[in-house]
Amino acid sequence: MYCLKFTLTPTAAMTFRILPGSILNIATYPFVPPTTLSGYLRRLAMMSAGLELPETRINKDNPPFYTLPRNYVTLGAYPTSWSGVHRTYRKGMRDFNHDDFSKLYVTGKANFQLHTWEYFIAEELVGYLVSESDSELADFQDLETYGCKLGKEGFAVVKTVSEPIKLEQKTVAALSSTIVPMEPLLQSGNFAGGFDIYNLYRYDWDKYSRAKNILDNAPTSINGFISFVAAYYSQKTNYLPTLDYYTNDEIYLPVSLVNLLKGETHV
Amino acid sequence: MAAKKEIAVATGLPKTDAENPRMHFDIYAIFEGSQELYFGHEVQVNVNLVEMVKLTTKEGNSIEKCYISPTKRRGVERRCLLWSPTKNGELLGDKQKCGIPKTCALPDCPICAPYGALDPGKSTLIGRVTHGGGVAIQNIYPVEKQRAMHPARLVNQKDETPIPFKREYNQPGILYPVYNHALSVTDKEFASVAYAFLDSLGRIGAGNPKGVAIAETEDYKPLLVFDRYLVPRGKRPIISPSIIEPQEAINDFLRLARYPNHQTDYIEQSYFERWIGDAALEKLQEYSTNFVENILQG
Repeated sequence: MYCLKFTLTPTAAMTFRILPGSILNIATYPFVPPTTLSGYLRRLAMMSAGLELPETRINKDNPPFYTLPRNYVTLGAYPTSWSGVHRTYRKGMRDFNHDDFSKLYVTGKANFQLHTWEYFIAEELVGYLVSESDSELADFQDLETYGCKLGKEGFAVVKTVSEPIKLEQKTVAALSSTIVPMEPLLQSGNFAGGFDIYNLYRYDWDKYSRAKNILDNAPTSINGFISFVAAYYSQKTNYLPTLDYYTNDEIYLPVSLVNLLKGETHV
Repeated sequence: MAAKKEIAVATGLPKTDAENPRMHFDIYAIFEGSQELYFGHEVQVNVNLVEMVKLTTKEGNSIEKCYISPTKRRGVERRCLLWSPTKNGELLGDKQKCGIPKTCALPDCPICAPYGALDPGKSTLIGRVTHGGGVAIQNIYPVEKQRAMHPARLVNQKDETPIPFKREYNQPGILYPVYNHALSVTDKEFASVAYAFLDSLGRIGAGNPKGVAIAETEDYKPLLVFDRYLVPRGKRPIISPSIIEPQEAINDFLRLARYPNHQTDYIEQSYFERWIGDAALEKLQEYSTNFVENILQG
């Protein structure tokens, strides 16, 4: 297994909405979910090929997906140093059919509803992308210094892209570099905790999807999303889970996460 | 089912041509709070708090800093455009029939095109300008001040006692790195962004006083960088939120802007142009003037 390590510099506060969620309390994951990273890298690839960014239509129009093809598995991006979730209080709109919020002379009652909205602020993020073959990873080197919107809110710039790193499969006790799917974590007897639990989503791949190109503007064949539950180690912990990892003794990527995101396993 | 999804996809935006191509633009700046500023967060009993950002490391270290939320800059910029006066005396928002939250959502609206719009159930225009930064450099805590709602009359009337409350203020002299990124917009569309960025400077902050300035170096050069490109080059002058020394941040900003070792205030490489300091300010003013001439006075 080969891996690329992306170092990202966020330039803005980011929101990766936790779903299902409340419309009044907008919550964010404290990391970049795997699917979000995939769409972000695809857009950067399109920009590097000189293409315009795709406009996304509203849901009922069956909007196209722009993600990396199935042979690339993005595992999300995670803070390495300073980070925090900033919870704000905002006056949002209750409905959209008035323009009270831009009036200089307002009559009548204020028409707003109170929200809380969380923003993830980080100094640096490290993201991982794996592939069976190192030759497929060549185009990503060109993405350095490109930047694009990341998440529902947010923007990040690619600081560095590593050379392809060869990883071996090993069963060891180590702190995962990424989230870990919950079911395999429990099945392998790692009950001690020290992690937060999140509901996340992965792609439901169209089984006829053969696209391999990242530098064109063809939409990706995806039927939708499937939810899964994962553990995230946000703090240093003395208890290290024993799992199957793809590793070079520095990076630890759970085999179970790769298989799950590929759609080869279901939990 | 699969066939239905393979629609040939365009951006859905109006066609443009080689005369007015879509480009990427970035503004990098360091703002200085010229006086006390209030950015409302939470209201506790008789105390209005300002927004503070707390960052931690996995090892348990933490810092807390004042913050100009990018969403608040975006809101001020959009209103600057809506309230900009046109030739016949009408404000631009009234002329376009465009407001907040009811936007006109037309792809040729000088406000909605770059800033985005939503007409629920009908159309979504994805904003192509993203606002960032805002985490202060110095970790200086806000200061609480005693305030009261004083009645205007000199002779006290019945039930007109002032209601005392306290309000926090971000202290003057705090520096805030901020960024505006515009992706795939034309020069004409970016003109709105340049006008809004410059016009909003004096209007940032809730209540009074308002306003920030673009901070300057010791030799009076504005800490401002402006890029127009298809391929990003060099390095981006982004200040880490963990830096607390102003001089370190300013040195970093200038070093990154001139990377690897450019001496001039204008850098031109293939598919990339960068303006630094006064040159950046002049270039943004040129775009802003185009907006006034073509949209407001046109």
